[in-house]
Amino acid sequence: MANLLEVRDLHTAYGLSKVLFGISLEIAAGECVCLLGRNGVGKSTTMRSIMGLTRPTSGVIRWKGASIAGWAPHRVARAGIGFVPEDRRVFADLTVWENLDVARLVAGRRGDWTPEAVFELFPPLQPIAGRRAGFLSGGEQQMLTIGRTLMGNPELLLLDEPSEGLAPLVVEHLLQQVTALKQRGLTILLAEQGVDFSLRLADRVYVLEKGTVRFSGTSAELRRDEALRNRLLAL
Amino acid sequence: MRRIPWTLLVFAAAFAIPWLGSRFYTFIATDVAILALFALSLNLLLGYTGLVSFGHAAYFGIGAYTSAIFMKTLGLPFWLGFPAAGVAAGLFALVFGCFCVRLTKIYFAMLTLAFAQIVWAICFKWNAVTGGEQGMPNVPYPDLDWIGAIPGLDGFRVGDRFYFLTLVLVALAIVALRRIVHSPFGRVLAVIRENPERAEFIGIDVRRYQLAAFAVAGVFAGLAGALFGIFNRGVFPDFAYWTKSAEVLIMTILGGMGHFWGPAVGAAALTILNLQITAYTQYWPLILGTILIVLLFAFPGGLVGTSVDLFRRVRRGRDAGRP
Repeated sequence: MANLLEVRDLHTAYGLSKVLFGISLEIAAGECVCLLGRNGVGKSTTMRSIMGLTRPTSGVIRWKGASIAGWAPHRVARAGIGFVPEDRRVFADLTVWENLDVARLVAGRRGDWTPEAVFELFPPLQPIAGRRAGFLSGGEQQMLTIGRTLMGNPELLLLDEPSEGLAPLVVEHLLQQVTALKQRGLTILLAEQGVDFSLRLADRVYVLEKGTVRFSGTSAELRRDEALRNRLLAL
Repeated sequence: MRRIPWTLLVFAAAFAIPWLGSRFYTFIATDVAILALFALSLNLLLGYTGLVSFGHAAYFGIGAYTSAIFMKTLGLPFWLGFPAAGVAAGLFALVFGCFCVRLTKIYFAMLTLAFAQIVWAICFKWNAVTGGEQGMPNVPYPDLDWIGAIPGLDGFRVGDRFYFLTLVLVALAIVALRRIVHSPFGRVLAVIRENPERAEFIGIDVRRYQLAAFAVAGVFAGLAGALFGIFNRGVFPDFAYWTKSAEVLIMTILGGMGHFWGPAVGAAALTILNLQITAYTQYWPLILGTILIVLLFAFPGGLVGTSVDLFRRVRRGRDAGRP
């Protein structure tokens, strides 16, 4: 099967401090792939590099066969990659509805997503559509950020640590909602520290350590290999 | 309770000022109306897009010189000179803006200042076109006889007639500005102000929108400049000088950049304060500095922002007291 996204030997640095040392990964259409690893191993940097927010020093990023390394973020977004950052800050001065509407306005991609469809996926957002986004709870903000990204009708969703800082019950809801997205056929690249959340969602896993891929395989393989899990992921 | 149409009331009150019969009041009101438009145009950048321009006077000056050249040098009517001022200022803003939006924050501000200084230097030295240091005195009034022909408006002095014209044009420009900030385009600007990076990855070409805002703000500053040149009976290089940029920045912050009408209130407050205080003392900058310090610490939302907050708090307190 042809890969939707292909990353080859990606190196990225913030100034003099190198963060990624040759990351390679691929995602086929319809897959849910997880980048697993402790804090600071380069999960967010990988996503930021794909998105064009941090320029890689070298390496290849191919989206549907075309090289997109060095593209401006808005071009990457319009090409069909949606990004949900880990600090999930919404546009606080705008209402929930406006946050969604502005994203639809600038999307430049046709598709099925409307504010109503987002409310269907995230019912708690519906009654607070007129509220300023700055007054939402962490879970509501996370839903809104995902919803806002969906308004751009992406083909690939980059979810950076969606469960971080959320209450267990909220995480459980989020898991169901992301699963629903996956069942709709959306391709998802997930970055997570928690093994539970990611293994329940992902088809395949890349375990990162110090800016390199240390393991790649199916979720089932990682679930069986407890020694590997303890070595690479135990806190 | 129905909403009170404040904007209409203010407009009606402003329109009635010439009936007071004081040349002085009309003079101040014209000054305030023009500077209000100038400050509102800056706030499209400052309050709505989050861009601090320290060279907004450049476009005010370009507008003023363009209309003066049209009306005085070329002898063309105001109805050509006025729109030309907006177009010229907008075009220059578009060209300079191309460079400015490549930089961010303080570097953006410095570059806007640099371009404004270049504009000032050209106005100051290009004797053949701008009159150099002497400026262009005696810019003619537009033909205002037709205003006297309107029933109810006959018998006013030329200054009053020009005030009517100014007030209507400024009002139209403000309506246009208000439409812009409440349009989808305005919402995108608000998103950029809140977080340019986030705006970028939901698909917004941030620089292009910033450039568009910069050009639009330039157009309105140019229109204000055109009116000011006629009102001032002459156009001079200091229209584009950096102190003028600072003045409009102070007006905007004094009134409150978080509210649409803030800059207009700031323009009125600063102009009237200036007149009152310079009547008593020559130390206006000292007083202005003190006012600014108090303002920044005690009323960070500006006059309008603070009043709106206070009003909301009072109303909420009253509502809370109800059963």
